[in-house]
Amino acid sequence: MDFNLTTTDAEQKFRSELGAFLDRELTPEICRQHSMDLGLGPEARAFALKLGATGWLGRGWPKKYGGSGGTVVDEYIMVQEFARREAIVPNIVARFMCGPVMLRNGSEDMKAEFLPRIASGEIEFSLGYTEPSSGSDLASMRMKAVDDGDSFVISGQKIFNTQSHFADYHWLAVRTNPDAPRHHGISLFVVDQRAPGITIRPIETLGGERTNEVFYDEVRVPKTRLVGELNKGFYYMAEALGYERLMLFQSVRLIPPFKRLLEYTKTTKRGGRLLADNPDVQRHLAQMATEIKVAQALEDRAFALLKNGDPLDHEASLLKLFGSAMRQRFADHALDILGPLGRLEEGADGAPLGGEMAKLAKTVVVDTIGGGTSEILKTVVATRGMGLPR
Amino acid sequence: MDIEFSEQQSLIQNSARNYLAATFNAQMLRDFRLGSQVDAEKIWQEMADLGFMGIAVPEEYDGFGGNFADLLVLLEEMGRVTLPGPFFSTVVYATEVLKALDKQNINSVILPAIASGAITLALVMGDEGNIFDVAGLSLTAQPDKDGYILNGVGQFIPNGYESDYVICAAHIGSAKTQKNDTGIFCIAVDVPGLERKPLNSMNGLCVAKLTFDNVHICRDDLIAQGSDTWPALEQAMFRTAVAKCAEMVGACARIVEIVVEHAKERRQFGKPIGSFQAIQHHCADMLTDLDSARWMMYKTGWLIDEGKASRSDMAMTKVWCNQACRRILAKGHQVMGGIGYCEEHDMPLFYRYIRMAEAAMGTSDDHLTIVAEDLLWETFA
Ligand SMILES: Cc1cc2nc3c(=O)[nH]c(=O)nc-3n(C[C@H](O)[C@H](O)[C@H](O)COP(=O)(O)OP(=O)(O)OC[C@H]3O[C@@H](n4cnc5c(N)ncnc54)[C@H](O)[C@@H]3O)c2cc1C
Repeated sequence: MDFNLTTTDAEQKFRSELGAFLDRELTPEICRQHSMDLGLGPEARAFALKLGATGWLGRGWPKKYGGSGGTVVDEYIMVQEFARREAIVPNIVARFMCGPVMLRNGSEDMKAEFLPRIASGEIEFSLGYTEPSSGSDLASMRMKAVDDGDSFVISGQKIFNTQSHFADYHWLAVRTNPDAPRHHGISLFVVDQRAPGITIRPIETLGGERTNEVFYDEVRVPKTRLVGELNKGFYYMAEALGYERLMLFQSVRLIPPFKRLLEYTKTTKRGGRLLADNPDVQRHLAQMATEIKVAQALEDRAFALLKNGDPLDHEASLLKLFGSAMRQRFADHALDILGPLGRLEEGADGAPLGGEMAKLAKTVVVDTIGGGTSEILKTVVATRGMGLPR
Repeated sequence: MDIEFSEQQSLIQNSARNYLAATFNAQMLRDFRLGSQVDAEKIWQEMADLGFMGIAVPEEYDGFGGNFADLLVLLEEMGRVTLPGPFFSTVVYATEVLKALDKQNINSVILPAIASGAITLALVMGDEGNIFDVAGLSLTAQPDKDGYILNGVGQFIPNGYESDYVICAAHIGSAKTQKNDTGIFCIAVDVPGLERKPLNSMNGLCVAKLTFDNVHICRDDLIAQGSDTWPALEQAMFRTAVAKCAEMVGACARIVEIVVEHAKERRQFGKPIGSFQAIQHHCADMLTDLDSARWMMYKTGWLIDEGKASRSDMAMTKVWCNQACRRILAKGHQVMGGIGYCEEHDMPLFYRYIRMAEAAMGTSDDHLTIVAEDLLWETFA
């Protein structure tokens, strides 16, 4: 058994070079633009291109598609190195959700057109799955594409398409065969997000991030923009969701805020006593630290499977289940420690840690919902992972 | 045993529910959170006219003379609409403190003004609004020739920005450890040296920071002092914690209604989501938490009215309401799915409200500590 993330010199070298690059180039402003889903400002765009220019963003992909060699280990190193600095790999949807699916299933032309631009940090995607009446039950989606010669004409509505207001491309699932059984009549397309006929409306959320409603009115999409085979879209979507569940929550991301909280308790008094001297506070902190370690062990397990080339199935769902619930518990512990003042928001006089825990508490509400709800994921684990009857 | 509401209580419940439902909508509540005061005065006066402000004020002070349970019934209704504004700090917290101190000369002036809706109050007690520990009092009062000089900071004061008067607890002199040197003052907010600043919280601008910088007050502003002050304050604070539970229960009762309606109507996989066992179990858990919190709260209210509520009874009530309401909130969001996370939905109103309430008048940890102390050092009844 070996729980080392890097085992070869090449991996070790990649990790330290990337780390040094990030320490130099990542600014708080870039991290903020990454985390809010508000849109990539010029700083985040420039940073993505700079990273792309190093070749590292394409690490793990074949050279002919703009990749720079390396393995799945390097991809994991990349995700972890960003997460430990509270940042997100730029263009993460394109790089870790859409790109891999394209690589496995896309046409040569599509791969040649898009993968190099993803690897160079140039383009980002947004995920177009959910509809008002199709959330957990994606196979029921109604938005449809009609075959019209060398293109499809698409009309209908999506909801909760995060990033659509700034992404370059829409990773869009639509019904292409209304007569086939539900799962067999859906196809995936790559649509220019600014194409005529697309309207994007903002949705404000509790956590302050923006997501969108996206409307298509007879939008014409060339057939070359079909991902893989016609009517296989549901399976590609499931594949992309698998990658998403794996990548979404890296527990190392919680370590910096945890350290700030720890420091706060050591320097702040309530009721005449240091918070860190309060046994309740101590227990909350100990529990939080324990759960971060546990999450890391689970992540290591998933990564080890990937590295072996074993297909990840229910393990990705299990990881997302644990990570999302753990983040919610983390936020609850933090609010318990910080008491009333912990409910002050950014900018309020006296807000502990600049209000970051109040913000975290609101944003983690969606963790057990987005990317597959916990109820759905539990069913996946029980049936696919444990062989229980459907 | 009879757990039905009295006729009086049913009347309170009906009139409050009707009035509040007709008065508040979600958009108004969002606007209030962001600082709107539109119709605030009108609503305040209407509530006073309906008798809400005087509900717990004794008849001799022009109130309604209701008991504590009556107040809880009203507060549960207010929680259902996540009522903003200084009602709780004025009609519950301040009124409880004044009643507990029982100074006739003061009460005969202030309580009628509260009952008529003429004034609003906020309280500056201990660190972050709570008084569990005499060492945590926020202010000091230095005697000088014709009164006192107040110094200190009241952080996180509910409705501290919009109230007309502040009731403050302060250490008289400078030593910060003696319970019997606590003084209670009532001062108008326009006194020189008092600076008030609204703070943006998870539920908007409903709390404030009050800074007392050499605030000169005259001797008459001292409304109580001495050895019986602390027990009175403590008594008022625990009762107020139970009152906070009533608001939380009301909010959660609404969450459960919203969620159950959604579970019946929202269809996925060709069925209402409420037909899936996972959702049914969430709903059943929510109702178990709601009912347990609600009846614990009313039972403690009844014990209070009977004069039999111990400190632990009241602390346990806040502990359980905090815990149960937190779970109801989380499960409610879970059943709603993505739509409940959108600001335009009602769920965020409740999220913000419950997150504030669970820290108000004592967190779970604060109250568990009290329960443990009483278990270990007092007799458990
Ligand atoms: C902030 C945010 C960002 C998002 N970003 C994107 C995005 O970029 N792209 C995109 O396509 N989508 C996105 N989503 C949508 C997200 O994936 C869905 O919200 C999620 O899949 C749940 O769907 P729903 O909201 O329709 O809830 P529903 O499916 O209506 O679920 C409601 C409840 O019913 C439960 N339920 C449903 N079916 C079953 C069952 N069979 N058994 C047991 N329980 C069941 C659910 O678990 C949940 O508790 C986002 C959502 C949010 C809130």
